[in-house]
Amino acid sequence: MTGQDKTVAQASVDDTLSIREALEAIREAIDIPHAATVGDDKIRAEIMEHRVMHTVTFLRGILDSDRPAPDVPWATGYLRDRLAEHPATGYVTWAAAVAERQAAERAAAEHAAAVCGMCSASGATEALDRSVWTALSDGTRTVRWLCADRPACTGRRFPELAAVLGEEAGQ
Amino acid sequence: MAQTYPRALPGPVIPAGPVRGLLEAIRYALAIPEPVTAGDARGRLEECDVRAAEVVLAVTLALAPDATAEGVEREAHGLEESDDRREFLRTWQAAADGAR
Repeated sequence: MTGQDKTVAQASVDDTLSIREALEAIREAIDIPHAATVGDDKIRAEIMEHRVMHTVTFLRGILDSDRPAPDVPWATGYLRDRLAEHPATGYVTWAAAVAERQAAERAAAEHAAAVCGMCSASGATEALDRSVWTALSDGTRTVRWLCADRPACTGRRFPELAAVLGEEAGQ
Repeated sequence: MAQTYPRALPGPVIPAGPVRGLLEAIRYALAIPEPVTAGDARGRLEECDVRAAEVVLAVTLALAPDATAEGVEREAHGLEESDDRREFLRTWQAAADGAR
């Protein structure tokens, strides 16, 4: 269907939709995630520069009478294809860095709250493979954490043994 | 599948009105001239970033379901009237004009 074949109402609906698409394409072009670091920001700036350039070219095409694009949907499709050539990837985004940090903090909090499988003290800091624990005990319990201070841990778990060892050390 | 690009008329179809005004304001906001020095290039990038954020906000408001023609006009004026730090950037065009 050509422009001449459209009814007034149909043309109005089509044009509204195509302009809406154009605005959405503009937003997609320049609404790219912020970078996490200065180094990432350099990469982001290059991407942004290309995407802004294509956006300005697109706007010239649909607004200037001396550089006419065939129509708005065509120009929008062309812009989207150019944007696909410069995807907003290849750098660490601020959101990704924050999510990574929060995950690390959650892991650290879990770590701090971990209970030692040997002496039951909280704050165990060393992850212990189950197979290692199986070798250390009867293998009936699942242990994930162990105190880093092994002599203290052993003393808490086996106080009699610790007393004997202490006496031997004192002699 | 990649789109094909026939060079055909009819040409620009956006009628005068608030949306055209907004699109022209966006073009004005984003068309920052080429810089002269590395310092100007950095300033241009910063300006580009600020402008892009303003444009994203304006477009988002224009696309909102409850957007009105007056609201779109207001956003267009806002883009045109926001602080223009481009005046502080030396551009290739200005440098060339100065050399003449």
